[in-house]
Amino acid sequence: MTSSELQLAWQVFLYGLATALATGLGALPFAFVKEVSPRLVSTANAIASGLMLGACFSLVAEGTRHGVWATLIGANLGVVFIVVTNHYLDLHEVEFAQLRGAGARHAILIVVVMTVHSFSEGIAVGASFAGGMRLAVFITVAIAVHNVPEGLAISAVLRARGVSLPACAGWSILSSLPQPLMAVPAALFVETFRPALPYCIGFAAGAMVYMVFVELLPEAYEHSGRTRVATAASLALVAMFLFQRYL
Amino acid sequence: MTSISTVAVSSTAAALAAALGAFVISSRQTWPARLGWANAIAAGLMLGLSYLLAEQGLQWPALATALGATAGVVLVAVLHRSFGAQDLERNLVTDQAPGYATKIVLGTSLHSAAEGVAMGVATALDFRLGVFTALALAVHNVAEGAVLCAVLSGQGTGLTRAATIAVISNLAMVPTALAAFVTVDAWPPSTPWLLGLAVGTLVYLVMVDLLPEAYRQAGHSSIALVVSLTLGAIVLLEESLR
Repeated sequence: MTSSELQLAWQVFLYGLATALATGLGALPFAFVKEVSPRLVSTANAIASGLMLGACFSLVAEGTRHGVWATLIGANLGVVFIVVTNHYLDLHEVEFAQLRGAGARHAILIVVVMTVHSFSEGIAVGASFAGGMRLAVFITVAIAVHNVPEGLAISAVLRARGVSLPACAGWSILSSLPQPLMAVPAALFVETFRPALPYCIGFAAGAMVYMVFVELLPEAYEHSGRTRVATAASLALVAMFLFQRYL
Repeated sequence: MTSISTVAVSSTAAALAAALGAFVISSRQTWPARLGWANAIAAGLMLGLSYLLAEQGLQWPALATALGATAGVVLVAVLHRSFGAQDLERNLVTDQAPGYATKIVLGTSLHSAAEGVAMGVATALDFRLGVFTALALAVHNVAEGAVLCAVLSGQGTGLTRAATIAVISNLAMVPTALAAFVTVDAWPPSTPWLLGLAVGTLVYLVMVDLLPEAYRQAGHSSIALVVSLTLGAIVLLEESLR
């Protein structure tokens, strides 16, 4: 590894770590409220959906500049990855039951699902470094911001089961640790094998889009009116678009 | 002149597609799941369309596009509220409250009017983008027409009459499409505002109507797959637009 690669690795690791730490901020509102309503969690999910879709807009625009078919193949692999992971978790749900009771199992499942989907976000952070510093900062901030409501979602489930506030923040950060860990090889891999860039970008976009439509949005609609969900998600998407243009 | 007649023809054709909704519901056993998929395909097409339109908007000041989009979201939300159609369950074939069918017809007209703006702007920017917009909205109109026909036939209206009402309420997109086209053509600085308005409206309609309905009509995973794959297909289309 050359010194410039080492420097890049450190930089990517620190950016990834920052996005992971941002997830812990999701536990903060629980310092002020004893109980968070399902409606609030549902709005947080809707905002996260809008931000993620907005992030995918720029990911796809960037990826297709390098290769349309490659981006598309990557995106399909990203979708397949989430489908397979979800399927695996469904099949092996029983293994989490060793911890205390059904509530604990649900809590662990949320953390595991969030952790698994952090892998693609780590790849997104890492891959974005090859698209230039502007895109890297944008994607990093975007993912850090969208990690906050994710941490909120995790904390809401854990706090409701009586887990302490610091532990909520800890589990939230842990669920995002794959981000710095995956970001480094993704960035190095992209630097060494540039042709793989659109595949990586497509993979992240596909995984994120599928995650939004299979988990976040259906969950949001379950506990809140559709007007509220639609307004939060659409405005978050517009905000992300604006954010991207003026960063 | 050719372009403005394109807008007129394609928006009318998209409105006529609503009549196909009557065919969808004629086989009663399977229509909810079919509608779910039609809604999911329409959601994917309309979100993809917003992506293509937003990309076109990149050459204009982003603030104007974003403000236009915010206006689109607020406009549709306020209009929904003004006639009590917010959070309206749109699939009730039986147990309808008084005025339910009227709300559905009004809602369909309002959506069509908003969608017409997207069609007009898209055609003014790029002929092929306009034709694609008409196709995407035609798919959406089939699903919307099916809901309307099901609601009306639940009240004892004949299918032919129901299909006619579906087409008439969707014809609202023709005047707005023409108006948007003429505005962009005559005064180009209005482009980012109308573009934003179209994007905001499309995204909001997908989130407030198409997706929640689709999730209820078919399973989460199949809807998510259909939306994601349709979005993927749009990326391919983007290539051919270059």
